[in-house]
Amino acid sequence: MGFKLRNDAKRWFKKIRDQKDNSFNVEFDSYYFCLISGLLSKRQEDIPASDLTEFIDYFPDKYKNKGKILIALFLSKELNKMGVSFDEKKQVHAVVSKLIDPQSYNYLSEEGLKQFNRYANAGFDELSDKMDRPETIEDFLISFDKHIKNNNY
Amino acid sequence: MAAEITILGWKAIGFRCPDHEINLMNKSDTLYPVSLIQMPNGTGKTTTLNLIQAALSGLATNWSSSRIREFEKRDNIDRKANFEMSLLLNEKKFTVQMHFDFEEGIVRYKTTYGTGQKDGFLPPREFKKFLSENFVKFYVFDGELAEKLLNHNDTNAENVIEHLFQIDHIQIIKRAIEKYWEDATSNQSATEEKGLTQAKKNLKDKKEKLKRYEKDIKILEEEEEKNTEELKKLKEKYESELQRSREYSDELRNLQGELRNTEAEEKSLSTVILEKMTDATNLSTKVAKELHDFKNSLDRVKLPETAAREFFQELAEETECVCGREITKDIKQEILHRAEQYLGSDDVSLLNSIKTSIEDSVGISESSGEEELNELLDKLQKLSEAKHEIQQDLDQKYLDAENSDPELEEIRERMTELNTLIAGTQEDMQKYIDPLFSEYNIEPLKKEIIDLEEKVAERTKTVSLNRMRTALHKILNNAYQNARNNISIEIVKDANEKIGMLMPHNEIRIEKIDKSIILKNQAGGSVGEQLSVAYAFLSTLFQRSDHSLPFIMDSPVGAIDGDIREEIANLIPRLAKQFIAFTISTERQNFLKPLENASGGNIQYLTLFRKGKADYDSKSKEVVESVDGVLIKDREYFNNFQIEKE
Repeated sequence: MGFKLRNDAKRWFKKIRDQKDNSFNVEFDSYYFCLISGLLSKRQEDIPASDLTEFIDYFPDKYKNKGKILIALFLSKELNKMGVSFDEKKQVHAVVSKLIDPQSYNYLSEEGLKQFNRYANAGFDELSDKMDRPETIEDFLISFDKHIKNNNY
Repeated sequence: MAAEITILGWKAIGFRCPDHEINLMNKSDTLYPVSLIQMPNGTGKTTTLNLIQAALSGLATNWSSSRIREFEKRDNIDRKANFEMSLLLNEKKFTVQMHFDFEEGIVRYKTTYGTGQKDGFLPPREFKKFLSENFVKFYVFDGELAEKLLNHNDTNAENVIEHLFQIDHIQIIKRAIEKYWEDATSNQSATEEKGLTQAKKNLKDKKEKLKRYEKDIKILEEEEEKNTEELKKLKEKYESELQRSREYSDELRNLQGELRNTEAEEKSLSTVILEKMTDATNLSTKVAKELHDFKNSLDRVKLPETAAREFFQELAEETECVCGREITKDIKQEILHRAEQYLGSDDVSLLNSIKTSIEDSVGISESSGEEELNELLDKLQKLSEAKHEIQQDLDQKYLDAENSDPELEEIRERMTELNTLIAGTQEDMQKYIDPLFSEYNIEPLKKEIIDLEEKVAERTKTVSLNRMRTALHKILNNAYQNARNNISIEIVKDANEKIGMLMPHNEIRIEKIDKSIILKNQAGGSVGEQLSVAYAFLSTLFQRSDHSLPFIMDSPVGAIDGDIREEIANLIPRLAKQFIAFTISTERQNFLKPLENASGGNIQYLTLFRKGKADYDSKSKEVVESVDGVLIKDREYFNNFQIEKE
């Protein structure tokens, strides 16, 4: 199983993906911003499989060394979601064991990846509800930053 | 492949006939083409013949107990009997033993072919049709067969013709075709033709759809190319017109240069910003703090532990703990149970690595990431605004130039129009090539067409296969009927010629073969006539076949007159490679001499009788005595033996 991006999210990001000579040039770029929006807004959603496109199962390119930060943010949100305190070592172990897999390319277990994708699904709703469809990468980056600040994430 | 059956001999012990052993090979181990076994009536010719038939067909397994007991020798104390027959089947030895148990009323067969003896009557597969009840009747010929040949309830001459002339192979081919068809179509339904028509229609529709889409795409591409070409020319024209006016050209050039530089800077900066944003700790101080807290919390509670699960699992395998105490079975179970509470070493390693990543990203300040990002974004904002202003200045300059030169305005308007058209064309084309627009997308449509083409090909193959199968069946059925009819006609013609030779003054002739022999204008005939018809038919049959079967007969000329006997004697050597006849003394006349002439004198003369029924020289080496029988292998004795009946 790999990362899954909503088809409507792909359409939403298409213009900036197609922009010439820019660095927003891999599918994971679109996925990342959806994921971050979902994690920061603490929203998750299930989407029908037909509306999703599975792509890679590893952190590519510029995300190679940032993957563990994402995992950390994800674990933090999950522990918080489950109401597990760090003093409850047993429960922390259980959550961590359930969600991560050191042997997988993305360090996530099957359950972990499933929850990851659920954040990305909801994150797109968050973006499209609160931002205009981006015309250029420059516009998008500025708008995204405003979105983070406006919501105090 | 042609089949050859040769009888080497047999041995009978414990039956109604005298105990005897017959060897049909001469001293040099070659076959006697003719063996005559002279036995007075009542000696057990019929018994012996029946035993031979049973040995060659496995017939005795169907006999009732009373039938079996009919073979029992009187005063047979142990109530058992054995009949053993040896054959060559295409040069390979085949032995059949029949063990009779008269008390139980059963017969047990044992067969030897190649290595080892097996229980049951088990002839090799390729000989089964010749060593069968129906077929054996045609070459182990008892006196009743001649009559039976004319009765369709008792015989099936058509089957024998089929086997002898291998017409039955046509049926074998038909069965092979059926099997091929079943294997090829095991997954297909009976409505294949209908399915194929539907599949072909679907394929045609999809191909037409693809053709339409490709045509639309071509039109769009041509339109885009045309508009782009026109736009390019207009741009050049527009620029060259502007250049002509020195008033605007320098300013425009400067602004365009500025714009290009600003755009390049913008692009470069957005790359840096995107890179920075991919590290979540830079997005906001709050995020950085959350991650830092996550890491610190893990450190505070000493997670992950320094000891991993594997340590405790390995410890549980030891006999002694690190503290020196003995690890009992119970303690081991407890250690293993509690070890589950610890993370595995890989998990420990990953968590530590995550903590390190956070530490490296956040560094000493949780806010520095956001601050740096804010600076960059401010720069980007300013660059965008600057670009916007330059663009506005540029647009104004263009507008001023256009105002002073209507042609320029016209060109500009047309350029704007073309840009809109090109954008529209590109958007229209998207639906055919963007996988998100599944209804119009041509790539999945092409794949569907390929899949359908494969399905149609497969179904067409099945339908074609069925047509070929039906045609083959028709051809084979025709071939089968024609072969049967034509062969029958030929056999009837030849047999009638032989009947004419045997009985030149007799009008009896065969009309046709339809299961049994059907005579022209009469239902049957005298015993002599039946025998002559049978000889004529069988000799035609066996002479024309590729197979070589022995011919065993009881009273070959018993009921036949003098002249015909001579004709039959001439026929016999041509009848079969091996002819064995059970005769009585009265058959010698007009038969033996012509037979000797026709067969070149290569005849085995055997006389078999019960002890005490005839005189003989017991010291002669040609005499073999059994418990109750005497077998004499001598021509002179044969010729002089006068006992017709016991």
